[in-house]
Amino acid sequence: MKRRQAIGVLGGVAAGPLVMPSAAFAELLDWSRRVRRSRTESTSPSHFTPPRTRVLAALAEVIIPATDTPGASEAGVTDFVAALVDGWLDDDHRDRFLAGLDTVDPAARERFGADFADCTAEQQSEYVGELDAELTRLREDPDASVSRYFFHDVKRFTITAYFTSEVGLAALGHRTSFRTFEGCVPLTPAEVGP
Amino acid sequence: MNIRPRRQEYDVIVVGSGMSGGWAAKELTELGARVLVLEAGPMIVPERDYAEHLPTYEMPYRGWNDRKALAATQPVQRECYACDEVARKFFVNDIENPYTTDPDKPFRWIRGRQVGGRSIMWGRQCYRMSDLDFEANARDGHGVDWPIRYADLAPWYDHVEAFAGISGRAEGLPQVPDGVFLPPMQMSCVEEHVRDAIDQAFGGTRRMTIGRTAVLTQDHKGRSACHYCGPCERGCRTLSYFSSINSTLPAAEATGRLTLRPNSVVPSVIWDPRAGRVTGVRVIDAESHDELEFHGRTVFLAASALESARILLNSKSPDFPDGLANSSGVLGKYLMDHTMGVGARASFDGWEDRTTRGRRPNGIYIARFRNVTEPAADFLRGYGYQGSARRAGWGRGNSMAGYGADFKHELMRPGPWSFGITGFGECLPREENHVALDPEQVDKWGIPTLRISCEWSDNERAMMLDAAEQAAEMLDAAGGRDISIDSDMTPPGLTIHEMGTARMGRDPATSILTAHNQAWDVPNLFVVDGAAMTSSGCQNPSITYMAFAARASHYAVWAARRGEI
Repeated sequence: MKRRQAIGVLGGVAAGPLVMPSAAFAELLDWSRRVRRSRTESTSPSHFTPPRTRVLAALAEVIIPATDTPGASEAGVTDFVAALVDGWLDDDHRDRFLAGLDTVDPAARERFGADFADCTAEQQSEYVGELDAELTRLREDPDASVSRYFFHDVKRFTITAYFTSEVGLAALGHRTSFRTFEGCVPLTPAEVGP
Repeated sequence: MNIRPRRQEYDVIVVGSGMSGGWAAKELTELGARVLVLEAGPMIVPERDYAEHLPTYEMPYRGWNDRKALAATQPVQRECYACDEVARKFFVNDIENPYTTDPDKPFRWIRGRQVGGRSIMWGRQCYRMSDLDFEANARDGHGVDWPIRYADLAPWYDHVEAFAGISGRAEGLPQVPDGVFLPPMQMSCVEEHVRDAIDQAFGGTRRMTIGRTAVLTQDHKGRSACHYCGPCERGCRTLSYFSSINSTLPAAEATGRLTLRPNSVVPSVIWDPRAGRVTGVRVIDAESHDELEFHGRTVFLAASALESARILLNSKSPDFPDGLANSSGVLGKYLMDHTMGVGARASFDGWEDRTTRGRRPNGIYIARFRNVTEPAADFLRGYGYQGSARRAGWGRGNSMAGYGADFKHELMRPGPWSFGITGFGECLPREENHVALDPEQVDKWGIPTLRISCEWSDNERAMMLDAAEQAAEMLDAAGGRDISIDSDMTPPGLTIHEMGTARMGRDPATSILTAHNQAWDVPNLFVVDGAAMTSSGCQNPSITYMAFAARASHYAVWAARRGEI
């Protein structure tokens, strides 16, 4: 019985319309959400606490700010980082990353008298500039291990989260359908940029 | 009077629903046979299971994959590039499907167990073999002579290409003969430049062409032209690339003579010693673990080179103590794969105002020149290259200094051009590269697993050393900058072109199969997958398996009509 139905579907696909039914797409998204839900439900409370979420969101917005297109805070960067912290990073890597993140607010309070998220744009930029300069220094030091520096993770998590997000893909003009493949065409205005 | 319930008997039982099994199913049913296709894995329904447009933001790890789940359940499969966050569901669970190797001889066995098999996530590159390949063993004495020549297979290449839909450009190259092509895809600016530069620098002995790929560049037999979304390995709802689900199984189903049974793990073939024939196959239901039997007048194995060998090795009887159809003793031996992982990459200045549009599911191909148009000093046979040029994307930001609005806008612009190629080299057939049943280990269904023993030889290593050097030379000749060489060969298996474990030959004493994929020892048993390969060539082999499967199917029907099997 099951087999008959399955074959019917198989045969029907080749003959039927070649568009993606929206119901099926909804099912796909449902699958994806189920996967994510099962992950968050099955684990203990998140290591990515609200204060850490707040710091990360603020750092991410400095790295990829809103311009003529949305910035990192609109892109759900913290959701992705929470998923990494709770389900992707090995424990020692996670702890190292969180320990680094936990230095940001105390440092900001000492220097600027406020949590990082509450600092002015200039103060935030100054601080991120120093973190980025340290990252560059470590990259050029053959004896250093860049990947152990928490800001290396902050930056790459932010970049990936932004450019894989709905707003980030829209900013890039991302498409999933092309009339043909063109091998050598002029850049679009979006690709040329401001 | 002896009354027994009539048992269902099929004309042909096909074990495996992938590249080869799909073709056998289509050809056999279209010729009038009633066919049962047995597939070890579950049903795949495109509307439900294909996910090529799932946006990255709907993936829990945004395309970085569920690395902990991979480490726990797919430590082998994860090494395949196509085993990504979405497509990993098309790869087997390594814990349920174990195998063993010698510690110093790694072999990566990449498998898909579902209706469609690996034809769902294959690389889609299609290059014909030629007489350079079919005569290679006879010429240099490695392996045994192929029982066929190109002329025997050419019409079957035509036959399968015309149905599957292969895009490519006719080049008139004898070592990779032209086929039945749909219009070629375009090269990028830098690829065209490199092609012309290589042509000039090497006096026309090295030809670069656009990849020949089983992706439609125009509507074809009810399937839509490619829309260039990119990740083919996740499936394709417009059915634009060839797979058995997209193409051959629906054609077989349309005849009304196909029965497809998913979740049917075949441990062995049933041998009738009195009749001197096989009468069907044993099946373990993958879900219930019930043990069943299915009966047919002819059995086609198309379970993949290693799985078909495993089934035969596990089909022991007093007549065949070392495995069914193995009177020669070569079953499981002469395992081959193509070498991979070695090549070079370079940056290219210029074309900054140009880019590509669409995600081309294809690259470029540099046809074999070693021991064709240019001799090789220290190795036999040769290699081809595959590669592509592209502009860097936003990922380059991970290793760039900067932050803020300028940084963001920089990453939104296409980055520098780079061009890279990787050599795919021929592997000599060697007896010591073999598989055998593991005396101790069984899989989830209690079936003995394989012990795989396979390693590259000096010939493959010398060949890949040359491939690295020549790749760098070509990039240099084309004006590439910052040329980097990758000289680490990947372990055998990872190219996923494993083959040769039940080879064809001219002599029953040294081969398992005849020129028609028919077992010498068992007239109604055929093996129509990569196991049948007598040598490997350096071409991606699927189109050759398709041609053999179609050819063997016609032969089997013809032989049955004449009462020969």
